Amino acid sequence: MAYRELVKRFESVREYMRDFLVFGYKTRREFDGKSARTYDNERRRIESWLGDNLRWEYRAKGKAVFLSMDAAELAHNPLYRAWQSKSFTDNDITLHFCLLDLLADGLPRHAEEITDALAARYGTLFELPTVRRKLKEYAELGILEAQKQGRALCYALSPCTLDSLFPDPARLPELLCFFGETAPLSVVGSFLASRRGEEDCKLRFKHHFIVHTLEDQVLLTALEAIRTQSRLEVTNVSGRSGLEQVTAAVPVKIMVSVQTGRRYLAAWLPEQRHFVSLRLDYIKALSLRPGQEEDGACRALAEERLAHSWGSILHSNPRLERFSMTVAADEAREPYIIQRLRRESRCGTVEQAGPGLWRCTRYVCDAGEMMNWVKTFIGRIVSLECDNQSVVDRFYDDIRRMAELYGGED
Amino acid sequence: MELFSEVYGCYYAVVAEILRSAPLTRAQAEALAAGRGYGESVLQLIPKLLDSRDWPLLEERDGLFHSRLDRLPDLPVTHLERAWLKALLADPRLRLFLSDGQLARLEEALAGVEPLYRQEDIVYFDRFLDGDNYADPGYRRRFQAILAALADGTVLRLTYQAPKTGIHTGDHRPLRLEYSPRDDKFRIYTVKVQEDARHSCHILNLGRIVDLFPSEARYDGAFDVAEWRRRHRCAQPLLLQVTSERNGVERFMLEFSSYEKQSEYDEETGACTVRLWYQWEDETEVLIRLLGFGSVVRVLEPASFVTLMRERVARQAALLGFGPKGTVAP
Repeated sequence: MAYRELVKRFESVREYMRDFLVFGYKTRREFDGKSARTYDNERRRIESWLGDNLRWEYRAKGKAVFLSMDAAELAHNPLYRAWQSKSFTDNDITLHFCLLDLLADGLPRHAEEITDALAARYGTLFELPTVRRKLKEYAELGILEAQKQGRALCYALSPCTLDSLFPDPARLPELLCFFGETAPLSVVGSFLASRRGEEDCKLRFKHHFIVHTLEDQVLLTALEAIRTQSRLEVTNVSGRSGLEQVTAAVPVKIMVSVQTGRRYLAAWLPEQRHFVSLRLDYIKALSLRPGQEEDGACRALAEERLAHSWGSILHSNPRLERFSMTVAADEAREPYIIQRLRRESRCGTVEQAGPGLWRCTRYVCDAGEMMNWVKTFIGRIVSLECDNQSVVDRFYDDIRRMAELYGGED
Repeated sequence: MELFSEVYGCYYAVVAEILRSAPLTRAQAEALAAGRGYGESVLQLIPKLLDSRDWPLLEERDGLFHSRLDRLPDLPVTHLERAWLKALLADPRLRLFLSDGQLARLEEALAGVEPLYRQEDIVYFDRFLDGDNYADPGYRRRFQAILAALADGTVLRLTYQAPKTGIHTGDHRPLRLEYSPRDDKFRIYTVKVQEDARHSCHILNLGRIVDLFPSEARYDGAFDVAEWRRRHRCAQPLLLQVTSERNGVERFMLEFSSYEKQSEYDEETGACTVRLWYQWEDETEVLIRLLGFGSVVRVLEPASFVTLMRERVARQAALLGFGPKGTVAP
């Protein structure tokens, strides 16, 4: 089959784009399970979408393709181009433009009338069932409004436009640019913005994970399930073993780490009777299933556990561990350290423990989850105390190993 | 609901633009496809539209392509997009961009629309807690004045509370607004306009701007923030070795995916060598984030950064009573 820029399924490019952006070291032969031809087509396609952003380098094991960019310099997320690549038929595009043009007068018409008018006005002959299908699809999308006139179902162009929602368009480009990068499901903002043509509103984003958009369909379905109190059938691929597993789950929250870039679906597994946090980027497919009456109890439990979670995991065990860290910080010269403790300890208690000593205490389900954060204070930690001594021991061990790594020689 | 639909697609947008620009020449249509389309759209889209009867939307007369449509309207806002806008109404940052009148109009127009998501269903569990106060009417007024100045290119007299040196007042032309979802803060890049024409770039936290007024000063220079940032990038990239222990490579690569970097994986050792570029102003931030990875990440170059790591680790080892190379002191 001849190469095309457009694709039928988003899934087919999702993995490649993530690998090119996040890892950037895989060569053609390291894309397991894919034929060389498939790889070449997907690489060519992504190159065509992203232009100069996609780079390559010859390495010992072959040509490695990667996306390397300073996200803080991007006016728009370039990966949104992938969401605009859905393939279509000749009938789809012709009907799209002719229908919009025909119905621009706002008058409602029924399917037969529309089919005749398409032939008369544009000289294009469409089968009635084809037109009916497109009208139904566009009514479901909200492009058309369906209304009963007597026994006939009539269709008119929806009057809901950007102009009608924002009769005063002041700052609309900036609004769409901002939320089109930062809001959940931000790609939708880019769809709206693209109606006006891409503008550079001089807005930029730091600590910005552009790769998140590749999971937006998963996120959309998960949020719909949470909002409508449905269950989900989750097809999940283990990040370590690569094994695929299908699980029934009661979704409760989306947990987002703005620091590490990881996002999770927190859910209750009714069969195993515990909570689980599934990485959105490892979820292959989601489908909605009816909710059950007993699901309300696990949602309430999730809210309770959330108060004592440090990271993404909602723990099933209610037992709490006390964790306390004392750091050296001169309150006059280094107030920013105390400020860090207050803003980053996720509602921990911060108090002065002595001159130049500040203690942060937090009760959590698993103190082990705090250690990455604790290590950002390396060089200042005077003492750690924890109900779970193994957490403190692991920290000591890590410092020992770091001392070996940086032990004096260059 | 489906996000992946051709109605939001690149080809539909290109064809709409060509139809609105008609009558036009082939070269003009190709230029539009090259500008707004993908890299190979000129080869894949243009023949379908101009040369075949596959998409009979244009007709050629006297060397020009004329649209066969009469009045192509804008694509209506779809249910998906309406639901997304409705969800934004619950976001406290929306009021920074809109007036009360615009907000009321949007709320009225979207009455009865279900939001695409609810704010409370998403937990940003490691977001910093000292983010900007969007509910403050003064903050909103200053934010909107800065947005207007960004669009108009005007100069503002800003009074700024610096964390170390106190209150400063000066004439600044805002050049770029930057938001960090981690800090939940806005910053502006400005050029400070001075009488001696020694203009300099400043980065100011919006939350620290105490007051602002329109200034009579003018700055029509072409200060380029991107170029300024390039000049303030580290002279030499960090050379890091990331081990696969505790899923280190995956964790590191994702966390630093917003940085410019190049990586190479060594299958034998399971380690990854990464070159990473950062802004000078972010050096401390990068340093503490790397410390957070513990022994999973080792900084190999440059020597100055290795020294910073070594000093912190040595200080920590001393605080814990370790001897040289991690041995426990007697």
